[in-house]
Amino acid sequence: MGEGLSDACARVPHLRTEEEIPEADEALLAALADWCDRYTPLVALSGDDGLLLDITGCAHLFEGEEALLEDCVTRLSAQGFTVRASVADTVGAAWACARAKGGVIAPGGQREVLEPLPLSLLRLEENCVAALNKVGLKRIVDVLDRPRAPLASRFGGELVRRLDQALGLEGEPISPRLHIPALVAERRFFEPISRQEDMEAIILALGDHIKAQLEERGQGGRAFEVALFRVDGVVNRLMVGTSGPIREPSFILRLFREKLKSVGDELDAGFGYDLVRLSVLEAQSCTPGQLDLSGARDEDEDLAQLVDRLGARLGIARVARFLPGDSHMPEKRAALVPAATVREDAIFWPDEHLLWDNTSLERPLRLLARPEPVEAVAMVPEGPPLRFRWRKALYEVARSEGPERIAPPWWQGPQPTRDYFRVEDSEGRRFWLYREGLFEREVPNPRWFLQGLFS
Amino acid sequence: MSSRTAEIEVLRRRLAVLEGRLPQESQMSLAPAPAASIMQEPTHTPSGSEVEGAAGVCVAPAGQSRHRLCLGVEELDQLSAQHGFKLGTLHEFTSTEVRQSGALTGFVAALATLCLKQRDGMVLWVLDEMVQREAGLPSAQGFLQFGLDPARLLIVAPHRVEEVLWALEEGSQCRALSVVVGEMQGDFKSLDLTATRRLALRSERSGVPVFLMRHSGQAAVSAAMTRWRVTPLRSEAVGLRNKGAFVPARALMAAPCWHVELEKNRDGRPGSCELEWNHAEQRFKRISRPECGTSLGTPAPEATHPVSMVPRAGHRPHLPQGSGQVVALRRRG
Amino acid sequence: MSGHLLRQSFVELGCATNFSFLHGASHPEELAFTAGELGMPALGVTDRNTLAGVVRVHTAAKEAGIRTLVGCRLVFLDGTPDILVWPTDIEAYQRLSRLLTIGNRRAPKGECHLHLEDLMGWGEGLIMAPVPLALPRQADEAALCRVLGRLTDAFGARVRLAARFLYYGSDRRWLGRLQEIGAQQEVALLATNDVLYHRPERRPLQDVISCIRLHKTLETAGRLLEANAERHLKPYGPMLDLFQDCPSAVSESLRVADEITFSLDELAYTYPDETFASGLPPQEELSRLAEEGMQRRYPGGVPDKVRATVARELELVEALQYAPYFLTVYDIVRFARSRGILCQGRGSAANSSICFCLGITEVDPDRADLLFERFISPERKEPPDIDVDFEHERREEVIQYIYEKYGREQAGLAATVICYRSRSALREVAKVFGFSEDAMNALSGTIWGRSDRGGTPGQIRDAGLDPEQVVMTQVLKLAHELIGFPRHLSQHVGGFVITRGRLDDMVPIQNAAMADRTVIEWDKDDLDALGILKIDILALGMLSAIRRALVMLKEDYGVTHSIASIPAEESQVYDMISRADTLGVFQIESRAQMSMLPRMKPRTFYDLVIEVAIVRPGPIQGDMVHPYLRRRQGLEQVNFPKEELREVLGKTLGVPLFQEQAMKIAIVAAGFEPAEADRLRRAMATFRRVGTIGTFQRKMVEGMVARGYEADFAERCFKQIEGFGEYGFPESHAASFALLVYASAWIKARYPDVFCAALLNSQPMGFYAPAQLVRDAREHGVEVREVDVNMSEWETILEPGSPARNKLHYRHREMAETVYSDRAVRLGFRMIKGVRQEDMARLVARRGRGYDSVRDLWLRTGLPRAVIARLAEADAFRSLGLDRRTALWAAQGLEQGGAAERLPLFDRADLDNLRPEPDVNLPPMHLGEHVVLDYQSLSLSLKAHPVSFVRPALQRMRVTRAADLVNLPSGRRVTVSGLVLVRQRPGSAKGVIFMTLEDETAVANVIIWPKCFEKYRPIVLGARFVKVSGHLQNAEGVIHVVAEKLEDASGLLSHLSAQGLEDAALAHADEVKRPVQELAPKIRPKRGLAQLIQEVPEVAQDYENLSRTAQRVMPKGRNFH
Repeated sequence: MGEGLSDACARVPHLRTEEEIPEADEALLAALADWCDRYTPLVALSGDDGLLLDITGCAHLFEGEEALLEDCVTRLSAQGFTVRASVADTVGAAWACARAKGGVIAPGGQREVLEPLPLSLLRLEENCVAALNKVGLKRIVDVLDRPRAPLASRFGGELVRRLDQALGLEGEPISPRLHIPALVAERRFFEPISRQEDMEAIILALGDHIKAQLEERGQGGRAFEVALFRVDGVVNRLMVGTSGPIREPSFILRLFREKLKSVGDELDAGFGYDLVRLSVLEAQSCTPGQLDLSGARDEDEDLAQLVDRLGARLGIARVARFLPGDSHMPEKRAALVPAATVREDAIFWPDEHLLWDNTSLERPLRLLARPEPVEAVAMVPEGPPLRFRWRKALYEVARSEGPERIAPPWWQGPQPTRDYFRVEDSEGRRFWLYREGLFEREVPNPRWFLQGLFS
Repeated sequence: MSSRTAEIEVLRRRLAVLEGRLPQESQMSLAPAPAASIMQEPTHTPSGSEVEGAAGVCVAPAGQSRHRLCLGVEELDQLSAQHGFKLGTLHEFTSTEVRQSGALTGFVAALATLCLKQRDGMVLWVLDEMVQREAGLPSAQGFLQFGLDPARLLIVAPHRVEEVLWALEEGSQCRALSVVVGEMQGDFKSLDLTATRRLALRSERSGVPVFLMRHSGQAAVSAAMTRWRVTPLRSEAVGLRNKGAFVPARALMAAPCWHVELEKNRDGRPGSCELEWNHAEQRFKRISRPECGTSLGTPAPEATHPVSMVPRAGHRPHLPQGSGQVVALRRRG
Repeated sequence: MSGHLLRQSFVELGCATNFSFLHGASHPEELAFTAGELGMPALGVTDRNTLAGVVRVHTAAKEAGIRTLVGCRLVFLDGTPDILVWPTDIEAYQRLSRLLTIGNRRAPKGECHLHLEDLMGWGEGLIMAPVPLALPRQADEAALCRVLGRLTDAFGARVRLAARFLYYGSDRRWLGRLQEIGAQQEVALLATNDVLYHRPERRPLQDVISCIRLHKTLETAGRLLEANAERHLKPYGPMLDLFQDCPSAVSESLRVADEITFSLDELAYTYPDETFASGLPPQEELSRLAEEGMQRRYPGGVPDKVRATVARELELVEALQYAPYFLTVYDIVRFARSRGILCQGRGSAANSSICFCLGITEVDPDRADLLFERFISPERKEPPDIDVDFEHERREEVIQYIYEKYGREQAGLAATVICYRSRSALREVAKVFGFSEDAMNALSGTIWGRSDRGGTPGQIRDAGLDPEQVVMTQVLKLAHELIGFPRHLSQHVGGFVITRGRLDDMVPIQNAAMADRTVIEWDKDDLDALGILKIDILALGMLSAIRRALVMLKEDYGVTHSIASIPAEESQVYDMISRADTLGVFQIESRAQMSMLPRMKPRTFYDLVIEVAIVRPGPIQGDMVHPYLRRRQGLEQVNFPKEELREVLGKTLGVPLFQEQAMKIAIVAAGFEPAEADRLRRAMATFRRVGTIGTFQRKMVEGMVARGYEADFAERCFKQIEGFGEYGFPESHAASFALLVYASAWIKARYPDVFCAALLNSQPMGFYAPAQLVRDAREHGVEVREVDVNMSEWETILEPGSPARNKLHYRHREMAETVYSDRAVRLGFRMIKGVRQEDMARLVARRGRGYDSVRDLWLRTGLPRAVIARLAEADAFRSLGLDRRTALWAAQGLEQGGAAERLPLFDRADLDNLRPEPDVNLPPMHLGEHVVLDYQSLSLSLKAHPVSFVRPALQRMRVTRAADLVNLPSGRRVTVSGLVLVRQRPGSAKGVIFMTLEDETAVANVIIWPKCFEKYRPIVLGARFVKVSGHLQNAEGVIHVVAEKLEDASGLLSHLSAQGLEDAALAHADEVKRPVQELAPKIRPKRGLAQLIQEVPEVAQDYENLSRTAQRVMPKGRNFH
């Protein structure tokens, strides 16, 4: 441990390494926290490797703390996590015990349990623990009964505070991760449900429950959430907002029904849900007259709608916009991307047309889908074409300019260099041709292609 | 509702104009031509869909185009009853052969560029697969140099021609657009009077101009306000200093230029002109070059064998065949 | 060449070498040779704001038989287009150099900030050609015209307009426009291809280095890369084709070439004028000083031989007018002496009798009886070369003296070109290809140390990558090409160039990374090539140690000595050396040296000279070591390949060992011209990459065979020269070093206490960590006492003690008559990690009759609590009766910060009276834990050896004590165990790893063959405490265990302390690198220590950055060669 990666690689040549992705770890821990929502809404993150659940008043729902702990550990283990958990009176004691041996500590039993544990389990800073160790104080019992003043003066107030917190002499609030909803109604099932009708029925039922409480408070809901707890730990959350306060269950259901429809495919019920919870995230006092589901629709056409409509019928990919590409290769200079995926302000084409000379254009107005082979007569090694045959027709070159020599990216494999010429035929038609391969340097007989049409 | 009846009345009048039953000039107040290349019609004070203009003037509903487009070339601008060309309607552009599609695209792109200077919004550019295969896709880099910001291009490439029409219709009623460009190849049955009339109507209603490009298209019955025919023209020779003998293949290319013929003009009279496009300044320049190129009005020299136009890409052998004088020709009407 | 023919050609004038860092993609030599092949009569070199590459082009162009047109591409900050400039004559060159210096000096290191105004001021005599942009806008065209206007107004016909045809599409159009502009402004067009590489095949590499420069990958760089591969050297024909619209632009290049008369050869070097008290001209002053010195050196009368030599040398010096140079060196040495700074000269001229007489060197030519008069050879025109080593801690004083005396206008440090090595090249290229960090690490992890070769396919497969894959082949190929490319200029460790006139008239000066340092743009090879003298002011740690030892000898023992006066040729000293009891002795303390000593059994000074020289790449690559040893031991008869070599090889028993011998063989035996032989040596270093080595090899081998030598011997001689090319080590260096070897060995033999204290006070230096030095001193009967707040000073000092000869370890029992020591060593505060000298100085100053409590110390010294805690952690309160733990508890109980920050009144009341501390019963501390904490704080422990605590367990495992190995017969299977002290992988030893283990009794040497290494790689590289089983090898007193099985035994030690030894750095990594640093550059090992894991660029300043990483990587143990 603690050695550099390159050192480790030198020692173990076949060492498999993974880049640390702190965001991913964070996200995983947050997801776990959300899942723990099933035990109590008061779930807090604890450091970067732990969760803190305030289960005050929740244990009875699971038939006791032991059972709750077991349920939690079993379920998380089944999902492939290594879990260490503990229930205790204080955050500090639970934190230490979870990391030491786990289990439920009887009320008031934290002192006894903490005594033999190393000081590092007191949630102290590393150098504080090191300083303690240096004078031989290594276990919690070593400091437990010492006079507090000398300890505090040497090792800081944190040590004493952590001790007191662990022992319950000092309180310690937890800060839950999620916004605590205004109202919550939930239902658990022994047999998981997965059918949409079942879910709708339950939302309706829960809505009834909510309605009563909202009426009691003289409030209506502005934002609702349905949380679907899947058996395997996934929590699906659907959120809806309204333009005005509502409390009628059928309204609530209607909103969620549309939502369910739109996310229908993404919502994978898996083995079913064993807990459904309806929360009012935001409530607002209201008069009965306000309770209306309305909202004027703007009939005005706008571009986004046009893009959506065209895309809906023709296919999203067929409604496209140009994104600038940074490559010497003409065909990669621009990319057509579905307009629906492009943000308006994301496109910027630098004004490269203001070159010193305003009489000629270097790039054609149209590019053929694929360069078409032509027969051309040209001077070797690198003269312009004098005449060429394209699509069975012969063209006499009257004017030409070039070559513009573009060598394809060598790292993508060997490809011959292209010499581009802009030519005008005797009729005034203007084309963009290239010779593929440098004469004798790359190929014995270069081939010619026509790639674009000038205006 | 009274507004509804008023609207219907307006539409009825427009149809009459479209079908030539009412001379449009009589409904328009003449405005002096401003010197600027782009001119705006004098602002109509009344706005709102309910308001009907006085003195039999056909007043567009609010938000519709009040613009005309001046090309900055007197010969062309004066062909219309009023100076410049009416924007909120359907215009057609054709070329004789697909291989001239570069020239055709250039002229339309130039017009679109001028439109963009005048109107906010994107360019909806619709083309079907056949056109893509035969004439290629617009090139963003090329458009950029030409003067038209590719960021303002919305390319729609439907599979079938019917869908092109539908997309054009959808586009022509979207006020967020600056101009709608459609491309087709050859003559196309469903693009009849009704279809073009629908397009023109929607365009007039929204004020969004529709430019319909028809590669190797013939004069077909159409409700378009104008029809233009574009033919490439040899560019001016750019000489290099210290040059000895003039070697054609070593002569440099100059700015794009075309012979443009206004074949049909409901808004005025037909005419023709030779134009050059200055992409740096984004403006047309009239040129007269009697010595070069095909002259407008006289049809291209016809071949002895009426060969079908340039063979379509899909049916072409992979490599060009050996020699043999095959000249691409106009298809006979 | 006739005028007409000349007109039929083209000279490329605008050419960037790879000294336009990360722009140019070809070596100067490649460009010069290619230009020659393409028939160009000359080549113009224009690097970006630098002249760093011109000398190399110049040297190579001479080989290729073409002219070099020195020039520069000026890149401006103010939007001015780049301007190519070429000085027409030496005055113009000087102005250009000044101009670049001005730009360099106002910019941070590695940059040059120029404005058009600068050129206007310094542009006289320069031909200048603005380079228009390839894809210009209208504004650019206007700017170009403005610049042209200004330039022509000021410089008239000197101005040209560079025209390029780079296949950008509109080239002809633009060229036409340029012709118009040229006509308008009356400026001729000058064709150039604006060359970035010599052949189109270099385009991939150019793209790669562009990506490195831009911090992009190939995929993301887009159009920042060149569109095609056209920017290579093009000959007349193709250029004419391109410029057919304007052929005069092509011929203009010849007119420009004609206009330039300047050549680098004109840079006649002028020595600084010294002014002397005597007022004599330099030569006479030198004679006078030499005469004076002779009298001083030989008070008993000057031997005739010496007098004759001096006279001859003086004659030569006069002929070549080198007197000022000698006087300059003399002055520097005199300054150092006046400050009491120990110094010693070496180098080609240093072993002359003049230098001995002037006191520049201490090697008495008479005593050394050197084979070669390595002095100036007039026929080779090689300038004299004197390096002077100074005490490493005080070299800076000397450097500042030089700057002060000559000023920055006349004195500057030579540059060192830092190049891409295999590891860095592979890493950068992999990055450019978009490899992930992991893949990059895996890939660069395949390379050991600093090889110049990329990973082999096998190694790459080991790294989990597919060497067959196309991308991988490309990466490897390009990385290989990139190796040897200059990356940046760094400062040479001490090579000073001092001139009479302004230095920046000769070469541009840059800022160095270190503040107050300036560096010229040329490195020592460049200076050599132009015959410019430099003086190497180097730092040598051993000189610091010897100076300290001499002072201690005088103060503690009343014995006064200088290096020269140390009694010479004492047999007891050679006895000690022959037993390889040389830990800490200069140069011969390494594992390789120690295993050589018992076989060599040096008896005389010249034996030491050979000893110093023999373990070097030259002799090793030439396979000369073993033949010499066999002959020395009488196992093989001394004979000479041919009688003509008797004179050359006589003193080395017929085996060539020194660089001079190898060169001489080339001359005598292969028929090389002396100058040619010298070129051969230099070619080894410089022209390696262009492949002219093969010709030399053929010539030498064939020449020797033709003269009747065996082909095998010839090949070996050539290989040896190759080795010297990498690591030149002439006899004169060896002799100077041998003197220090003897001096340090004498001190160690006679006064081990002084030796130990002096080395400890000079740390970090040398090969071994303090723990081993202390242990060695104790074995030599020296009592070593711990750091104590009441006894110690900052430095380690001597205290009254008892005679050491009575306490000798039985291994050293035969030294009873040798050792004179009777003092004890008291470790100083500098041994404690993390305390500052000024704090400890205050502690000592206020100590009075001693501190009687921790609080007393705190109050009287006013030191912050943290510092006192450090002292407690070092267990430095024993004299107060406090052990580490109690002292620490007391220290922790102090108020934060220092006592001085508190009100005195408050202190008394608050702390002493009002808050009596409750009694504490801290748990007692075991000895083992103490030892571990000693190591953590002091990196050594006097209490016990950590391994002694696990001895019972080791005994159960039948582990042999290291000290007992000597009693076992060779071939016996044994198991040893100990702390890993050193791991080395000498480049010359075919992948063998040498590991040194230490237990409480002695050290054990382990050999690990590659096969075994691969098997136990993680243990070899990672473990701190190992158990090794294998067969014992005992040959001539050199004992090795050949490892067959290794085990990580760290677990055994873990119960000693929770922290464990893992954190206790037994040796600071610095020490590991120190020898590399102080011996650079002349004898700088190419494979430095500790480079196994981490590539380490060769110069000192880079070490500093890297030592941090290196420390992290290998915090413990000593590392690899």
